[in-house]
Amino acid sequence: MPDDRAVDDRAQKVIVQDVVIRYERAGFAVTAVEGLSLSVRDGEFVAVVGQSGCGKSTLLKAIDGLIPVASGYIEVDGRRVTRPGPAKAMVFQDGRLLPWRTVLGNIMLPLEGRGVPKAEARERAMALVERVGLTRFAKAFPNQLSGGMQQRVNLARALVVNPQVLLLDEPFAALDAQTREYMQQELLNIWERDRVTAVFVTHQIDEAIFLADRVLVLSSSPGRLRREFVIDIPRPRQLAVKRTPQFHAYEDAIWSEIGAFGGDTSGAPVQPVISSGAVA
Amino acid sequence: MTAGLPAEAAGLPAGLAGTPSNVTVLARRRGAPRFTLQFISVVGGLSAWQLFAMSGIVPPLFLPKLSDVLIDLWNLLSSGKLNQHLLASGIEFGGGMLAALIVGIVVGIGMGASSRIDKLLVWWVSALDATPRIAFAPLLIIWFGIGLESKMVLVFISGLFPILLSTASGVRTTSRELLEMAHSFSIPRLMQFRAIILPGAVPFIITGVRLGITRGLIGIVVGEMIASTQGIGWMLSNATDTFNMVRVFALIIVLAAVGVSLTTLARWLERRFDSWRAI
Repeated sequence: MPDDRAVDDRAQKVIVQDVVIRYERAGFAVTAVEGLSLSVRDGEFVAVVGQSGCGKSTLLKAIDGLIPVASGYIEVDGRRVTRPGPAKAMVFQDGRLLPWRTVLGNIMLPLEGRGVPKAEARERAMALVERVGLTRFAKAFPNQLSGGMQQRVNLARALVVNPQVLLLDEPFAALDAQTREYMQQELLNIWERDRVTAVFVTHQIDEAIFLADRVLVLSSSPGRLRREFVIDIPRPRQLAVKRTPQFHAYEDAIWSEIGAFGGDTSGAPVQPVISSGAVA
Repeated sequence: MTAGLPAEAAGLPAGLAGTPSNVTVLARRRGAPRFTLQFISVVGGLSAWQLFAMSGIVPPLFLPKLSDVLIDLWNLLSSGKLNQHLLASGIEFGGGMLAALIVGIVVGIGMGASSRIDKLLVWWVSALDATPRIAFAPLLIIWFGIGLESKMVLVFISGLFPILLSTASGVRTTSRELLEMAHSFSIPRLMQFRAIILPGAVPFIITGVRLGITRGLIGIVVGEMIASTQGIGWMLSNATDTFNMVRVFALIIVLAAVGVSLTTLARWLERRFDSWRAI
Protein backbone atom coordinates (compact mmCIF):
# COMPACT_ATOMS: atom_id res chain seq x y z
CA MET A 1 0.00 0.00 0.00
CA PRO A 2 1.20 3.52 -0.72
CA ASP A 3 1.06 4.84 2.81
CA ASP A 4 3.89 2.79 4.22
CA ARG A 5 6.36 4.01 1.62
CA ALA A 6 8.95 6.38 2.99
CA VAL A 7 8.83 9.98 1.81
CA ASP A 8 11.03 10.44 -1.24
CA ASP A 9 13.67 13.19 -1.28
CA ARG A 10 12.15 14.66 -4.42
CA ALA A 11 9.43 17.24 -3.88
CA GLN A 12 5.89 15.98 -3.94
CA LYS A 13 4.29 17.78 -6.86
CA VAL A 14 0.83 16.37 -6.43
CA ILE A 15 -0.68 15.28 -3.14
CA VAL A 16 -4.14 13.77 -2.92
CA GLN A 17 -5.11 13.19 0.70
CA ASP A 18 -8.20 11.26 1.88
CA VAL A 19 -10.19 12.71 -0.98
CA VAL A 20 -13.90 12.11 -1.41
CA ILE A 21 -15.60 13.33 -4.57
CA ARG A 22 -19.35 13.30 -4.96
CA TYR A 23 -21.51 14.55 -7.76
CA GLU A 24 -25.17 14.59 -8.52
CA ARG A 25 -26.62 12.72 -11.44
CA ALA A 26 -30.34 12.60 -12.18
CA GLY A 27 -31.14 13.50 -8.58
CA PHE A 28 -28.86 10.86 -7.07
CA ALA A 29 -25.72 11.67 -5.13
CA VAL A 30 -22.98 9.51 -6.60
CA THR A 31 -19.73 8.96 -4.73
CA ALA A 32 -17.15 8.80 -7.49
CA VAL A 33 -14.03 8.69 -5.36
CA GLU A 34 -13.76 7.78 -1.68
CA GLY A 35 -10.87 7.98 0.74
CA LEU A 36 -8.30 8.25 -2.00
CA SER A 37 -4.72 9.19 -1.17
CA LEU A 38 -1.82 9.32 -3.56
CA SER A 39 1.15 11.47 -4.37
CA VAL A 40 3.27 12.20 -7.42
CA ARG A 41 6.86 13.31 -7.16
CA ASP A 42 8.51 16.01 -9.20
CA GLY A 43 9.29 14.74 -12.69
CA GLU A 44 7.44 11.50 -12.18
CA PHE A 45 5.12 10.01 -14.78
CA VAL A 46 2.21 8.32 -13.04
CA ALA A 47 -0.53 6.38 -14.78
CA VAL A 48 -3.90 5.76 -13.15
CA VAL A 49 -5.79 2.73 -14.41
CA GLY A 50 -9.12 1.23 -13.57
CA GLN A 51 -12.33 0.24 -15.24
CA SER A 52 -14.62 2.78 -16.77
CA GLY A 53 -16.62 4.45 -14.05
CA CYS A 54 -13.97 4.01 -11.39
CA GLY A 55 -13.68 7.75 -11.02
CA LYS A 56 -10.25 8.16 -12.58
CA SER A 57 -11.31 10.97 -14.91
CA THR A 58 -13.18 12.58 -12.02
CA LEU A 59 -10.01 12.42 -9.95
CA LEU A 60 -8.06 14.12 -12.74
CA LYS A 61 -10.61 16.91 -13.02
CA ALA A 62 -10.44 17.40 -9.27
CA ILE A 63 -6.63 17.70 -9.45
CA ASP A 64 -7.11 20.30 -12.18
CA GLY A 65 -9.59 22.12 -9.93
CA LEU A 66 -12.52 21.73 -12.31
CA ILE A 67 -14.60 19.92 -9.70
CA PRO A 68 -14.51 20.31 -5.92
CA VAL A 69 -13.68 17.63 -3.39
CA ALA A 70 -16.30 16.81 -0.74
CA SER A 71 -13.63 16.12 1.87
CA GLY A 72 -9.89 15.68 2.06
CA TYR A 73 -7.61 17.90 0.05
CA ILE A 74 -5.49 18.10 -3.08
CA GLU A 75 -2.20 19.99 -3.33
CA VAL A 76 -0.34 20.81 -6.50
CA ASP A 77 3.12 22.34 -6.27
CA GLY A 78 2.61 23.01 -2.58
CA ARG A 79 -0.70 24.85 -2.99
CA ARG A 80 -4.20 23.76 -2.14
CA VAL A 81 -6.24 23.24 -5.32
CA THR A 82 -9.51 25.16 -5.35
CA ARG A 83 -9.74 26.01 -9.03
CA PRO A 84 -7.78 25.65 -12.27
CA GLY A 85 -4.53 27.56 -12.39
CA PRO A 86 -1.27 28.04 -14.26
CA ALA A 87 0.52 25.18 -12.49
CA LYS A 88 -1.67 22.61 -14.22
CA ALA A 89 -2.59 21.88 -17.82
CA MET A 90 -5.05 19.28 -19.04
CA VAL A 91 -4.97 17.16 -22.18
CA PHE A 92 -8.58 16.20 -22.81
CA GLN A 93 -9.81 12.90 -24.13
CA ASP A 94 -12.02 14.44 -26.80
CA GLY A 95 -9.68 17.06 -28.19
CA ARG A 96 -11.80 20.09 -27.36
CA LEU A 97 -10.13 22.17 -30.01
CA LEU A 98 -11.82 25.30 -31.30
CA PRO A 99 -13.01 24.29 -34.77
CA TRP A 100 -12.80 27.88 -36.03
CA ARG A 101 -9.17 28.28 -35.05
CA THR A 102 -6.17 26.87 -36.86
CA VAL A 103 -3.72 24.50 -35.21
CA LEU A 104 -1.52 27.47 -34.33
CA GLY A 105 -4.49 29.51 -33.11
CA ASN A 106 -5.64 26.70 -30.85
CA ILE A 107 -2.21 26.35 -29.28
CA MET A 108 -2.03 30.14 -28.79
CA LEU A 109 -5.32 30.21 -26.88
CA PRO A 110 -4.02 29.51 -23.34
CA LEU A 111 -1.21 32.04 -23.84
CA GLU A 112 -3.67 34.69 -25.01
CA GLY A 113 -5.73 33.87 -21.95
CA ARG A 114 -2.75 34.79 -19.80
CA GLY A 115 -2.19 38.05 -21.57
CA VAL A 116 1.00 36.97 -23.35
CA PRO A 117 1.58 39.46 -26.22
CA LYS A 118 0.39 38.14 -29.60
CA ALA A 119 3.83 38.01 -31.20
CA GLU A 120 5.38 36.13 -28.29
CA ALA A 121 2.37 33.79 -28.08
CA ARG A 122 2.71 33.02 -31.77
CA GLU A 123 6.40 32.28 -31.42
CA ARG A 124 5.94 30.00 -28.41
CA ALA A 125 3.00 28.22 -30.03
CA MET A 126 4.98 27.71 -33.22
CA ALA A 127 7.79 26.12 -31.24
CA LEU A 128 5.25 23.65 -29.81
CA VAL A 129 3.77 23.00 -33.27
CA GLU A 130 7.24 21.95 -34.35
CA ARG A 131 7.80 19.91 -31.22
CA VAL A 132 4.70 17.80 -31.85
CA GLY A 133 5.59 17.42 -35.53
CA LEU A 134 2.78 19.46 -37.09
CA THR A 135 4.82 22.18 -38.79
CA ARG A 136 3.15 21.60 -42.16
CA PHE A 137 -0.29 21.76 -40.56
CA ALA A 138 0.13 24.93 -38.51
CA LYS A 139 -2.52 26.69 -40.60
CA ALA A 140 -4.88 23.72 -40.93
CA PHE A 141 -8.21 23.63 -39.13
CA PRO A 142 -8.95 20.79 -36.67
CA ASN A 143 -11.50 19.09 -38.94
CA GLN A 144 -8.79 18.75 -41.58
CA LEU A 145 -6.70 16.69 -39.17
CA SER A 146 -6.80 13.01 -38.26
CA GLY A 147 -7.63 12.01 -34.69
CA GLY A 148 -3.97 11.45 -33.88
CA MET A 149 -2.99 14.87 -35.20
CA GLN A 150 -5.79 16.52 -33.23
CA GLN A 151 -4.46 14.95 -30.06
CA ARG A 152 -1.00 16.30 -30.87
CA VAL A 153 -2.55 19.76 -30.97
CA ASN A 154 -4.31 18.99 -27.69
CA LEU A 155 -0.97 18.01 -26.16
CA ALA A 156 0.81 21.05 -27.57
CA ARG A 157 -1.90 23.34 -26.18
CA ALA A 158 -1.25 21.94 -22.70
CA LEU A 159 2.54 22.04 -22.97
CA VAL A 160 2.72 25.58 -24.34
CA VAL A 161 1.99 27.05 -20.90
CA ASN A 162 4.95 25.18 -19.34
CA PRO A 163 2.82 23.56 -16.65
CA GLN A 164 4.27 22.17 -13.42
CA VAL A 165 1.94 19.21 -13.77
CA LEU A 166 0.56 17.75 -16.98
CA LEU A 167 -2.82 16.01 -16.63
CA LEU A 168 -3.80 13.61 -19.40
CA ASP A 169 -7.33 12.22 -19.51
CA GLU A 170 -7.31 9.12 -21.73
CA PRO A 171 -5.93 11.20 -24.59
CA PHE A 172 -5.51 8.25 -26.95
CA ALA A 173 -8.69 6.35 -26.11
CA ALA A 174 -10.52 7.36 -29.29
CA LEU A 175 -7.64 6.49 -31.62
CA ASP A 176 -7.25 3.28 -33.57
CA ALA A 177 -4.78 0.76 -32.16
CA GLN A 178 -1.98 1.57 -34.59
CA THR A 179 -2.17 5.33 -34.14
CA ARG A 180 -2.41 4.88 -30.39
CA GLU A 181 0.93 3.04 -30.32
CA TYR A 182 2.57 5.76 -32.39
CA MET A 183 1.17 8.42 -30.12
CA GLN A 184 2.41 6.65 -26.99
CA GLN A 185 5.91 6.65 -28.42
CA GLU A 186 5.53 10.27 -29.53
CA LEU A 187 4.31 11.33 -26.12
CA LEU A 188 7.33 9.74 -24.46
CA ASN A 189 9.73 11.32 -26.96
CA ILE A 190 8.21 14.73 -26.29
CA TRP A 191 8.05 14.14 -22.56
CA GLU A 192 11.70 13.01 -22.36
CA ARG A 193 12.90 16.53 -23.13
CA ASP A 194 11.89 18.17 -19.88
CA ARG A 195 10.16 15.35 -18.00
CA VAL A 196 7.33 17.41 -16.65
CA THR A 197 5.39 15.76 -13.82
CA ALA A 198 2.55 13.86 -15.49
CA VAL A 199 -0.63 12.13 -14.36
CA PHE A 200 -2.03 9.96 -17.13
CA VAL A 201 -5.46 8.37 -16.81
CA THR A 202 -6.19 5.38 -19.03
CA HIS A 203 -7.95 2.04 -19.11
CA GLN A 204 -5.27 0.53 -21.35
CA ILE A 205 -2.92 -1.37 -19.08
CA ASP A 206 -0.13 -1.75 -21.63
CA GLU A 207 -0.30 1.98 -22.28
CA ALA A 208 0.03 2.71 -18.58
CA ILE A 209 3.05 0.40 -18.16
CA PHE A 210 4.78 1.68 -21.27
CA LEU A 211 4.45 5.33 -20.29
CA ALA A 212 4.66 5.44 -16.52
CA ASP A 213 7.15 5.23 -13.71
CA ARG A 214 4.34 4.10 -11.48
CA VAL A 215 0.93 2.61 -12.25
CA LEU A 216 -1.86 3.16 -9.74
CA VAL A 217 -4.78 0.77 -9.87
CA LEU A 218 -8.13 2.13 -8.73
CA SER A 219 -11.04 -0.01 -7.66
CA SER A 220 -14.40 0.95 -9.05
CA SER A 221 -17.46 2.66 -7.63
CA PRO A 222 -16.35 4.36 -5.56
CA GLY A 223 -12.76 4.77 -6.69
CA ARG A 224 -10.16 3.82 -4.12
CA LEU A 225 -6.49 3.18 -4.54
CA ARG A 226 -6.17 -0.60 -4.88
CA ARG A 227 -2.49 -1.00 -5.41
CA GLU A 228 0.48 0.62 -7.05
CA PHE A 229 3.13 -0.89 -9.29
CA VAL A 230 6.55 0.65 -9.79
CA ILE A 231 7.54 0.15 -13.42
CA ASP A 232 11.23 -0.55 -13.45
CA ILE A 233 11.86 -0.27 -17.18
CA PRO A 234 14.75 2.01 -18.11
CA ARG A 235 14.14 5.18 -20.10
CA PRO A 236 14.10 6.27 -22.84
CA ARG A 237 11.68 3.49 -23.78
CA GLN A 238 10.82 2.21 -27.23
CA LEU A 239 7.69 0.36 -28.29
CA ALA A 240 9.68 -2.87 -28.64
CA VAL A 241 9.81 -3.06 -24.84
CA LYS A 242 6.15 -4.09 -24.94
CA ARG A 243 7.21 -7.51 -26.24
CA THR A 244 9.67 -8.27 -23.43
CA PRO A 245 8.89 -10.83 -20.69
CA GLN A 246 9.35 -8.12 -18.06
CA PHE A 247 6.61 -6.06 -19.68
CA HIS A 248 4.29 -9.05 -19.86
CA ALA A 249 4.91 -9.78 -16.20
CA TYR A 250 3.79 -6.27 -15.33
CA GLU A 251 0.71 -6.68 -17.50
CA ASP A 252 -0.20 -9.98 -15.84
CA ALA A 253 0.31 -8.54 -12.39
CA ILE A 254 -1.88 -5.52 -13.04
CA TRP A 255 -4.53 -7.56 -14.81
CA SER A 256 -4.77 -9.91 -11.88
CA GLU A 257 -5.10 -6.95 -9.53
CA ILE A 258 -8.00 -5.59 -11.50
CA GLY A 259 -9.45 -9.03 -12.06
CA ALA A 260 -9.31 -9.93 -8.38
CA PHE A 261 -10.82 -6.76 -6.99
CA GLY A 262 -12.44 -4.95 -9.86
CA GLY A 263 -15.86 -6.58 -9.71
CA ASP A 264 -17.41 -7.21 -13.11
CA THR A 265 -14.29 -8.05 -15.09
CA SER A 266 -15.75 -11.30 -16.34
CA GLY A 267 -13.75 -11.09 -19.56
CA ALA A 268 -10.43 -10.32 -17.93
CA PRO A 269 -7.92 -13.10 -17.42
CA VAL A 270 -7.27 -13.63 -13.74
CA GLN A 271 -3.70 -14.62 -13.21
CA PRO A 272 -1.43 -14.75 -10.20
CA VAL A 273 1.16 -12.07 -9.60
CA ILE A 274 4.20 -13.45 -11.34
CA SER A 275 6.94 -11.03 -10.60
CA SER A 276 7.15 -9.77 -7.09
CA GLY A 277 9.65 -7.23 -8.37
CA ALA A 278 6.84 -5.67 -10.30
CA VAL A 279 5.01 -4.86 -7.12
CA ALA A 280 6.08 -1.96 -5.00
CA MET B 1 5.97 -0.03 -36.85
CA THR B 2 8.36 0.46 -34.05
CA ALA B 3 9.72 3.80 -32.99
CA GLY B 4 12.14 5.83 -35.00
CA LEU B 5 9.68 6.77 -37.69
CA PRO B 6 9.66 10.43 -38.64
CA ALA B 7 7.43 12.44 -36.35
CA GLU B 8 5.05 13.41 -39.10
CA ALA B 9 4.33 9.86 -40.14
CA ALA B 10 2.95 9.12 -36.71
CA GLY B 11 -0.71 9.79 -36.17
CA LEU B 12 -1.20 10.21 -39.88
CA PRO B 13 -3.37 7.56 -41.47
CA ALA B 14 -2.21 6.58 -44.92
CA GLY B 15 -2.75 9.19 -47.57
CA LEU B 16 -3.89 11.98 -45.32
CA ALA B 17 -0.87 14.17 -45.83
CA GLY B 18 -1.66 14.60 -49.51
CA THR B 19 -5.41 14.95 -49.16
CA PRO B 20 -6.12 18.69 -49.47
CA SER B 21 -5.03 19.00 -53.11
CA ASN B 22 -6.98 15.88 -54.09
CA VAL B 23 -10.11 17.17 -52.46
CA THR B 24 -9.99 20.46 -54.32
CA VAL B 25 -9.57 18.78 -57.67
CA LEU B 26 -12.55 16.52 -57.07
CA ALA B 27 -14.80 19.37 -55.99
CA ARG B 28 -13.90 21.40 -59.05
CA ARG B 29 -14.57 18.54 -61.44
CA ARG B 30 -17.98 17.99 -59.93
CA GLY B 31 -18.76 21.72 -59.93
CA ALA B 32 -18.20 22.41 -63.63
CA PRO B 33 -21.57 21.51 -65.25
CA ARG B 34 -23.51 22.60 -62.19
CA PHE B 35 -25.54 25.47 -63.68
CA THR B 36 -26.46 23.95 -67.06
CA LEU B 37 -29.87 22.61 -66.02
CA GLN B 38 -30.75 25.71 -64.03
CA PHE B 39 -29.89 27.88 -67.01
CA ILE B 40 -32.03 25.79 -69.37
CA SER B 41 -34.89 25.97 -66.88
CA VAL B 42 -34.82 29.77 -66.57
CA VAL B 43 -34.43 30.46 -70.30
CA GLY B 44 -37.17 27.94 -71.07
CA GLY B 45 -39.54 29.42 -68.51
CA LEU B 46 -39.01 32.99 -69.72
CA SER B 47 -39.45 31.91 -73.37
CA ALA B 48 -42.68 30.18 -72.47
CA TRP B 49 -43.87 33.42 -70.81
CA GLN B 50 -43.06 35.47 -73.91
CA LEU B 51 -44.72 32.98 -76.30
CA PHE B 52 -47.81 32.59 -74.11
CA ALA B 53 -48.24 36.39 -73.85
CA MET B 54 -47.74 36.77 -77.62
CA SER B 55 -50.38 34.14 -78.37
CA GLY B 56 -53.12 36.49 -77.12
CA ILE B 57 -54.89 33.81 -75.07
CA VAL B 58 -54.79 36.12 -72.04
CA PRO B 59 -55.23 39.91 -72.26
CA PRO B 60 -52.01 41.96 -71.81
CA LEU B 61 -53.52 43.51 -68.67
CA PHE B 62 -53.17 40.08 -67.01
CA LEU B 63 -49.86 39.07 -68.50
CA PRO B 64 -47.80 41.53 -70.55
CA LYS B 65 -45.11 40.33 -72.92
CA LEU B 66 -41.69 39.75 -71.36
CA SER B 67 -40.15 41.89 -74.09
CA ASP B 68 -42.36 44.85 -73.12
CA VAL B 69 -41.42 44.37 -69.47
CA LEU B 70 -37.72 44.32 -70.30
CA ILE B 71 -38.03 47.45 -72.42
CA ASP B 72 -39.82 49.22 -69.56
CA LEU B 73 -37.15 48.05 -67.17
CA TRP B 74 -34.46 49.41 -69.45
CA ASN B 75 -36.25 52.77 -69.67
CA LEU B 76 -36.62 52.90 -65.90
CA LEU B 77 -32.93 52.22 -65.47
CA SER B 78 -31.63 54.56 -68.14
CA SER B 79 -33.85 57.49 -67.11
CA GLY B 80 -32.48 57.29 -63.58
CA LYS B 81 -36.02 57.19 -62.25
CA LEU B 82 -35.57 53.75 -60.74
CA ASN B 83 -32.28 54.70 -59.09
CA GLN B 84 -33.88 57.50 -57.13
CA HIS B 85 -36.57 55.20 -55.73
CA LEU B 86 -34.14 52.34 -55.20
CA LEU B 87 -31.98 54.71 -53.20
CA ALA B 88 -34.92 55.73 -50.99
CA SER B 89 -35.84 52.09 -50.36
CA GLY B 90 -32.18 51.25 -49.87
CA ILE B 91 -31.75 53.91 -47.18
CA GLU B 92 -34.86 52.66 -45.38
CA PHE B 93 -33.72 49.07 -45.63
CA GLY B 94 -30.08 49.75 -44.78
CA GLY B 95 -30.87 51.92 -41.76
CA GLY B 96 -33.48 49.54 -40.41
CA MET B 97 -31.38 46.41 -40.94
CA LEU B 98 -28.27 47.96 -39.39
CA ALA B 99 -30.24 48.86 -36.28
CA ALA B 100 -31.82 45.39 -36.25
CA LEU B 101 -28.38 43.78 -36.52
CA ILE B 102 -26.87 45.79 -33.68
CA VAL B 103 -29.83 45.53 -31.31
CA GLY B 104 -30.58 41.91 -32.31
CA ILE B 105 -27.04 40.67 -31.75
CA VAL B 106 -26.47 42.63 -28.52
CA VAL B 107 -29.81 41.73 -26.93
CA GLY B 108 -29.58 38.18 -28.33
CA ILE B 109 -26.20 37.71 -26.67
CA GLY B 110 -27.64 39.08 -23.43
CA MET B 111 -30.59 36.70 -23.55
CA GLY B 112 -28.40 33.76 -24.49
CA ALA B 113 -25.80 34.40 -21.81
CA SER B 114 -27.99 35.41 -18.87
CA SER B 115 -31.10 33.53 -17.90
CA ARG B 116 -32.24 36.59 -15.95
CA ILE B 117 -32.22 38.81 -19.02
CA ASP B 118 -33.86 35.99 -20.93
CA LYS B 119 -36.69 35.72 -18.41
CA LEU B 120 -37.20 39.47 -18.41
CA LEU B 121 -37.59 39.67 -22.16
CA VAL B 122 -38.67 36.30 -23.44
CA TRP B 123 -42.45 36.83 -23.35
CA TRP B 124 -42.22 40.20 -25.05
CA VAL B 125 -39.94 38.83 -27.71
CA SER B 126 -42.01 35.71 -28.37
CA ALA B 127 -45.26 37.65 -28.56
CA LEU B 128 -43.84 40.31 -30.86
CA ASP B 129 -42.11 37.71 -33.01
CA ALA B 130 -45.40 35.87 -33.48
CA THR B 131 -47.30 39.03 -34.44
CA PRO B 132 -47.34 39.81 -38.19
CA ARG B 133 -45.09 42.86 -38.34
CA ILE B 134 -47.24 44.46 -41.02
CA ALA B 135 -49.94 44.96 -38.41
CA PHE B 136 -47.71 47.69 -36.97
CA ALA B 137 -47.47 49.57 -40.27
CA PRO B 138 -50.48 51.87 -39.76
CA LEU B 139 -49.33 52.65 -36.23
CA LEU B 140 -45.80 53.42 -37.36
CA ILE B 141 -47.07 55.74 -40.05
CA ILE B 142 -49.04 57.68 -37.45
CA TRP B 143 -46.03 57.81 -35.15
CA PHE B 144 -43.27 58.47 -37.66
CA GLY B 145 -45.05 59.93 -40.68
CA ILE B 146 -45.04 58.78 -44.29
CA GLY B 147 -41.35 59.56 -44.85
CA LEU B 148 -38.36 57.26 -44.67
CA GLU B 149 -38.45 56.94 -40.88
CA SER B 150 -41.63 54.86 -40.57
CA LYS B 151 -40.32 52.32 -43.10
CA MET B 152 -36.96 52.23 -41.39
CA VAL B 153 -38.68 51.32 -38.14
CA LEU B 154 -40.79 48.72 -39.93
CA VAL B 155 -37.66 47.10 -41.39
CA PHE B 156 -36.10 47.25 -37.95
CA ILE B 157 -38.92 45.40 -36.21
CA SER B 158 -39.23 42.96 -39.13
CA GLY B 159 -35.56 42.02 -39.11
CA LEU B 160 -34.94 42.28 -35.37
CA PHE B 161 -36.62 39.17 -33.97
CA PRO B 162 -35.18 36.49 -36.24
CA ILE B 163 -31.69 37.92 -35.63
CA LEU B 164 -32.25 38.26 -31.90
CA LEU B 165 -33.72 34.80 -31.40
CA SER B 166 -31.13 32.91 -33.38
CA THR B 167 -28.26 34.84 -31.77
CA ALA B 168 -29.66 33.90 -28.35
CA SER B 169 -29.92 30.22 -29.24
CA GLY B 170 -26.44 30.32 -30.78
CA VAL B 171 -24.99 31.65 -27.54
CA ARG B 172 -27.04 29.21 -25.50
CA THR B 173 -25.80 26.16 -27.41
CA THR B 174 -22.10 26.85 -26.76
CA SER B 175 -20.42 23.52 -26.15
CA ARG B 176 -20.06 22.77 -22.43
CA GLU B 177 -16.90 20.83 -23.19
CA LEU B 178 -15.25 23.85 -24.80
CA LEU B 179 -16.25 26.05 -21.87
CA GLU B 180 -14.80 23.52 -19.44
CA MET B 181 -11.60 23.53 -21.47
CA ALA B 182 -11.52 27.34 -21.29
CA HIS B 183 -12.12 27.16 -17.53
CA SER B 184 -9.29 24.65 -17.18
CA PHE B 185 -6.90 27.03 -18.92
CA SER B 186 -8.21 29.96 -16.84
CA ILE B 187 -9.31 31.87 -19.93
CA PRO B 188 -10.83 35.17 -18.71
CA ARG B 189 -14.59 35.66 -19.14
CA LEU B 190 -14.35 38.31 -21.81
CA MET B 191 -11.97 36.23 -23.87
CA GLN B 192 -14.17 33.16 -23.53
CA PHE B 193 -16.81 35.32 -25.11
CA ARG B 194 -14.67 36.60 -27.92
CA ALA B 195 -12.83 33.37 -28.70
CA ILE B 196 -15.41 30.68 -27.97
CA ILE B 197 -19.00 31.81 -27.48
CA LEU B 198 -19.23 34.33 -30.31
CA PRO B 199 -17.50 32.30 -33.03
CA GLY B 200 -19.68 29.35 -32.09
CA ALA B 201 -22.77 31.51 -32.45
CA VAL B 202 -21.82 32.96 -35.85
CA PRO B 203 -23.61 30.32 -37.96
CA PHE B 204 -26.76 30.93 -35.92
CA ILE B 205 -26.44 34.71 -36.22
CA ILE B 206 -26.04 34.50 -39.98
CA THR B 207 -29.06 32.23 -40.32
CA GLY B 208 -30.98 34.85 -38.35
CA VAL B 209 -29.66 37.62 -40.60
CA ARG B 210 -30.79 35.73 -43.71
CA LEU B 211 -34.28 35.38 -42.29
CA GLY B 212 -34.21 39.00 -41.14
CA ILE B 213 -33.27 40.20 -44.63
CA THR B 214 -36.23 38.41 -46.18
CA ARG B 215 -38.62 39.74 -43.56
CA GLY B 216 -37.16 43.23 -43.92
CA LEU B 217 -37.74 43.19 -47.68
CA ILE B 218 -41.38 42.26 -47.16
CA GLY B 219 -41.63 45.04 -44.58
CA ILE B 220 -40.27 47.66 -46.90
CA VAL B 221 -42.45 46.82 -49.90
CA VAL B 222 -45.65 46.57 -47.90
CA GLY B 223 -44.81 49.63 -45.81
CA GLU B 224 -44.21 51.73 -48.90
CA MET B 225 -47.36 50.41 -50.53
CA ILE B 226 -49.42 51.48 -47.55
CA ALA B 227 -48.15 55.03 -47.25
CA SER B 228 -45.15 56.78 -48.71
CA THR B 229 -43.99 59.28 -51.29
CA GLN B 230 -41.16 57.33 -52.87
CA GLY B 231 -39.49 53.91 -53.03
CA ILE B 232 -39.99 50.66 -54.92
CA GLY B 233 -43.14 49.77 -52.97
CA TRP B 234 -44.59 53.20 -53.74
CA MET B 235 -43.81 52.71 -57.47
CA LEU B 236 -45.46 49.31 -57.32
CA SER B 237 -48.61 50.64 -55.73
CA ASN B 238 -48.64 53.55 -58.18
CA ALA B 239 -48.32 51.23 -61.17
CA THR B 240 -51.12 49.01 -59.88
CA ASP B 241 -53.40 52.01 -59.40
CA THR B 242 -52.88 53.02 -63.04
CA PHE B 243 -53.20 49.42 -64.34
CA ASN B 244 -49.63 49.63 -65.64
CA MET B 245 -49.02 45.88 -65.60
CA VAL B 246 -45.81 46.16 -67.59
CA ARG B 247 -44.42 48.38 -64.84
CA VAL B 248 -45.64 46.04 -62.09
CA PHE B 249 -43.78 43.13 -63.68
CA ALA B 250 -40.67 45.24 -64.22
CA LEU B 251 -40.65 46.18 -60.53
CA ILE B 252 -41.18 42.58 -59.45
CA ILE B 253 -38.11 41.65 -61.46
CA VAL B 254 -36.16 44.43 -59.71
CA LEU B 255 -37.30 43.17 -56.31
CA ALA B 256 -36.41 39.59 -57.22
CA ALA B 257 -32.93 40.75 -58.24
CA VAL B 258 -32.49 42.69 -54.99
CA GLY B 259 -33.72 39.73 -52.92
CA VAL B 260 -31.42 37.28 -54.69
CA SER B 261 -28.41 39.59 -54.32
CA LEU B 262 -29.00 40.10 -50.61
CA THR B 263 -29.45 36.41 -49.83
CA THR B 264 -26.40 35.62 -51.95
CA LEU B 265 -24.47 38.14 -49.90
CA ALA B 266 -25.68 36.49 -46.70
CA ARG B 267 -24.64 33.08 -48.02
CA TRP B 268 -21.26 34.40 -48.97
CA LEU B 269 -20.87 35.79 -45.46
CA GLU B 270 -21.89 32.44 -44.06
CA ARG B 271 -19.24 30.68 -46.07
CA ARG B 272 -16.60 33.25 -45.20
CA PHE B 273 -17.16 32.96 -41.47
CA ASP B 274 -17.59 29.22 -41.66
CA SER B 275 -14.49 28.46 -43.68
CA TRP B 276 -13.38 26.11 -40.92
CA ARG B 277 -16.35 23.87 -41.68
CA ALA B 278 -15.16 23.26 -45.23
CA ILE B 279 -13.68 19.91 -46.37
